[in-house]
Amino acid sequence: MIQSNRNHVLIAGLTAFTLWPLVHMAAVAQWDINPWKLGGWAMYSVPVPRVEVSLQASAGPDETWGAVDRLPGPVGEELERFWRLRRSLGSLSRPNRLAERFFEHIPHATQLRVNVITLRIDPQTAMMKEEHIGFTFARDPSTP
Amino acid sequence: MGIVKALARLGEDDAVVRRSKLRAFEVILLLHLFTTTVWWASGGWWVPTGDFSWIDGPMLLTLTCVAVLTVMGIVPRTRTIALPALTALQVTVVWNNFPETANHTFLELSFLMLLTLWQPRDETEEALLLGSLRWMVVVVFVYAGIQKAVHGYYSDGVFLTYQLQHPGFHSLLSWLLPADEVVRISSYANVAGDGPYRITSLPLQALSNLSYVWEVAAGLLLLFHRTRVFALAATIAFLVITEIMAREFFFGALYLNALLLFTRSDLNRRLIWLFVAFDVWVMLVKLELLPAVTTF
Repeated sequence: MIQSNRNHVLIAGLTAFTLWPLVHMAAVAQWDINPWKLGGWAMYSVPVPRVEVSLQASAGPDETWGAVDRLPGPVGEELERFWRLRRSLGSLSRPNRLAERFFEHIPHATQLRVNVITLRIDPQTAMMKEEHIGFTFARDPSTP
Repeated sequence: MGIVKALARLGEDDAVVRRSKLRAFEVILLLHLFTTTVWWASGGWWVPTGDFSWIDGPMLLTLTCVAVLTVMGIVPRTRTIALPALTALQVTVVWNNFPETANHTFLELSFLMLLTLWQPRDETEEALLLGSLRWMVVVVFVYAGIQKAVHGYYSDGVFLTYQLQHPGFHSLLSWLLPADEVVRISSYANVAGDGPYRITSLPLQALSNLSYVWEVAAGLLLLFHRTRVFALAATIAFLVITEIMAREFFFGALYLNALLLFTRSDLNRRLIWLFVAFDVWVMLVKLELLPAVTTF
């Protein structure tokens, strides 16, 4: 690589390294990304938020919702994967793939609700609080 | 180009010392990478005591390859082959752990990429390499401070109060605080409604606010010759205090190696034994020949 190209590569790399934390801050504010992750040098800037995910399902529109405790292997793996993504990537991760796997392996369920609870300390009140977000999916009638 | 000149200026040093320092930095980094690879390959600190099930055929083969590449990276004649391979390996590590990749893994990769892409051929290029590495250290330190200020958990000490539940933070911070308040915070199960994670204590508030001001100020003061010695002392002191509390020794070792690049003398080479001792200690802990006294 000739000298000027080497210099350009170096400057481009260092510029990205220098500006990335600003992008990181904006991404954290926009999508609730875990500040500890993705190389924004924000470790120890916030208490680590705790994320819990639970599932509820029903067998029809008029049926009651029940908690889903026992999951077939592939669905359990997908749940674990979603939980890991969610606690790092915040709202950038959605449980669509989890829903697909769920309906694939649990034929009698027609609706699924994925509940995401994030536990974090409110910096204003200094109190631990829960934030609930729910995602509801209905089985696609065209799929078996 | 102005940026290139500025970086070269930041990398100004006695030429012989600079070359020796850069080489020692690289060797320490490679040994560190080997140690962290072994540590994480074996499951880090999650592996239960007495569990050596991680040592199987593929793992042994992988670790042997990494060991060979590390040795090749240390030997000057073969480093140009080894460094790109180790960088590719580090990219794999980042990718496999993404998005949970630890920040120090990103920093290791950034240093490694720089050393791979920029293999200096003369004094001017060595200055540029040293200046670039120093700039990266400043960026990390300054942003770590800015992030603490931005997220709002340091202005009234909420973060440090919450961290009292962590043994490392507890050991250093609890003597600053009223005993009944320490008991109150320690009693929380961290469920919704617990709190407030706030203690009215002037020393704690001062320490909390000082921490990010210290990081930003000391980081910026590293850039200037006249303030560098003071800033270096301040940053190393900050690192030591952080390590006592957080016990993230992998990050601490990596960052100390990088901070020593700011010294006038060749401390990276002189203190290489310290880093080797750390790596050996980690290996002995992993092999259960020494007790695990901390988390990483």
